Amino acid sequence: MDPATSRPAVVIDNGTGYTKMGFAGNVEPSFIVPTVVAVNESFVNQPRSSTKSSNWLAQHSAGVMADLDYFIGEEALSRSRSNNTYNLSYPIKHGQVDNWDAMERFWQQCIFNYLRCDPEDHYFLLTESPLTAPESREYTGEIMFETFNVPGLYIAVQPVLALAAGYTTSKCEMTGVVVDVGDGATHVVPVADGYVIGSSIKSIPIAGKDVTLFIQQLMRERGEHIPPEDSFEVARKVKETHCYTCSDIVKEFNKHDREPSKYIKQWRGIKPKTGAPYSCDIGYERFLGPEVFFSPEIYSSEFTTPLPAVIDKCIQSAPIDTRRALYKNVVLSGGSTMFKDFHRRLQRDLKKIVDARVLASDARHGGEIKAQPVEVNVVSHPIQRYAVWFGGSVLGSTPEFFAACHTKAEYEEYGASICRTNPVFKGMY
Amino acid sequence: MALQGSSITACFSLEKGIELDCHWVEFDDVRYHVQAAMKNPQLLLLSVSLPTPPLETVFFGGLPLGAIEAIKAAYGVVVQILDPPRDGFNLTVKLNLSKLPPDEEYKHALLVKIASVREVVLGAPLRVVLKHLASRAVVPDVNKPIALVHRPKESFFLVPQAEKVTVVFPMRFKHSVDTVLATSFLQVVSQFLPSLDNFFDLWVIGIPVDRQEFVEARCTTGLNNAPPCLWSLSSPSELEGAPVEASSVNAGFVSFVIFPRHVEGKKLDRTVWSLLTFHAYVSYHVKVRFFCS
Repeated sequence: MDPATSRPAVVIDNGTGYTKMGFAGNVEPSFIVPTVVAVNESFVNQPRSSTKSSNWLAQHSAGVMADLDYFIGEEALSRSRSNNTYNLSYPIKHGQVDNWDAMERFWQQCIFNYLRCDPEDHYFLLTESPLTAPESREYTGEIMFETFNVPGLYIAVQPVLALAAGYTTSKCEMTGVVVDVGDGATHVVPVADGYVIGSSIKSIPIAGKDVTLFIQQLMRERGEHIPPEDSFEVARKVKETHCYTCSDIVKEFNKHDREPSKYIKQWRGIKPKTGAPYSCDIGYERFLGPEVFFSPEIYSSEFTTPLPAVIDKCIQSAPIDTRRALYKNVVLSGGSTMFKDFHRRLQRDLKKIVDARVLASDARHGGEIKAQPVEVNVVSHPIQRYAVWFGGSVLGSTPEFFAACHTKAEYEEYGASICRTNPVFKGMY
Repeated sequence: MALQGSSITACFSLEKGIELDCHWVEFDDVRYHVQAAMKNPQLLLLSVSLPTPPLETVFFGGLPLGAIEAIKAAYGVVVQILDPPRDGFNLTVKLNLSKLPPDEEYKHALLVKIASVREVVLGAPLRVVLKHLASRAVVPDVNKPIALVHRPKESFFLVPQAEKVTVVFPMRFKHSVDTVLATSFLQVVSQFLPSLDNFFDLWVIGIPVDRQEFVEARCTTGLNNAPPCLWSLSSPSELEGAPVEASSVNAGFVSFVIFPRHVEGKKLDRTVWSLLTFHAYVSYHVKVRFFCS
């Protein structure tokens, strides 16, 4: 037997904003770090041209070392702030790997410096967005098998894992709609019996980053005194700590106006350049930020369909026999669904759309046939932020997992094409 | 140092207790299990499983020689060793958080020490030998190299002599590409940077490996004090008397000669840590080189 199967699998969920990593079988990831790499560019370009006289070995070694001079995560952010020789690069954009070089470096640091394990000793479970191209999946496989020599690899689809996160022995529901709102991408993905209904996937150009940008814009327009180089970070912190979902914008405006002392919060910071302290108010943006999902017209003029309507459209386009089950299990995942009462608002708005449709169809039939009421249920769980990772951890700790993996031997026999297709897309539909 | 550093400190920083039950694996197949219960927030159970020892190493009750004493010396009252350990683990200790020192800096140092428990346990026999060297005590006459486990079913060897200790690492790699890369890497290293300490430092901080610059670096940073390092394809003469399996390698042998000046005072900790993580360090560089080439 392969000794690697006796060790827990490594689960890494690379998101646009944050990467969650840890070992299968645990309830929490060991690390959640920003998906960012800081590379010392000055070093990469300089020695190759200047050291003509020295031998190839020195040149080669210098190149190798230049490639070693990089950091990831929080460390990368602080390095780039204190030292301008480091350039930040974000390997993942809108849920897709954008810069493979940076991605490989990122993985390297994840494995060796954070998890501190030998990749040859562990099976790996990586995740991908439902819209990932087969080529990029192949490329992931190539890096994992060639560079890291992993004994086995499974590339899971994020929404399926999010659904599996709710999987317990008492309730094994693998049918539902996953609303995955990350930092860079929002997807609405229907899943039936563990198979993704690929043709009905909807994606929205509004995600966590847009909430941050919107908050930044609101604060700037109100004339809050925030140093410009810091304003994006402040907006992100405001989003993560103070934002909530309201039930009605007009009422919420009134509430704020009546009792400003209760609703308006203060932000205190230190200017990075001068070190002088400053403070500013946080007002309407507390509820207007998350509102971009429900009334996108306040943020962008190009995309104006609210999230509940997109979910409804997605379910309506799914096969008719799955629709009731899908309405019954709408699962939230991703950091940007963490706003307080987000699931209540979503449930209410979705229910409204569904009820209106039922009423209309009843009226069309003139009261002769009554439709059975449709149950709408938006599920939220406490681990929403890393639901995908947790699903991966659950999946990775089952004994069937190792059999489902692509193994090194298979890779050597057939090549990267083994990673091309994912069985969860080969469903009944 | 070790992985759980982050999580243990996270647990400590929380005032109220949390339910914690985590499994980890580190390089060289060292496994950890951390457990904390809500009702008893001051107590934390930490279990460690070590790599399977090869035949030639001396293990005593599932632990390397002197490990129990080393743990007691390193942690004092904070740690209590449970006997027998948890099923499937070599060592289980109970950490009593209420006995941590109040001073923040000292507390942090102790937490880091707890996080690097693998070094304390696996490095115990190495520490004993090096301490003998530091005090220039007369070594009990050993005619055979001392074998210490550092990877599953693999060991490295200590040859204590008067005034010096030779440490020999047989290097093995699973993958043929890794073997080639490691061999070339070690050749370069032993040729250009004939010492452990400076190649550690230079590679980490990224000084170009150029003969000229190296000479300068030597002068400026006083790296000539570092232990000499040799690489050879065939088994070095010090290994005579070691079991035959030990000399079946595919990437040669690396030996370091440790003199008393390398283990004086605070330098001891650093030397022990560098030696224990040497193989992981080389294999990390092999992976990085693969990526770069």
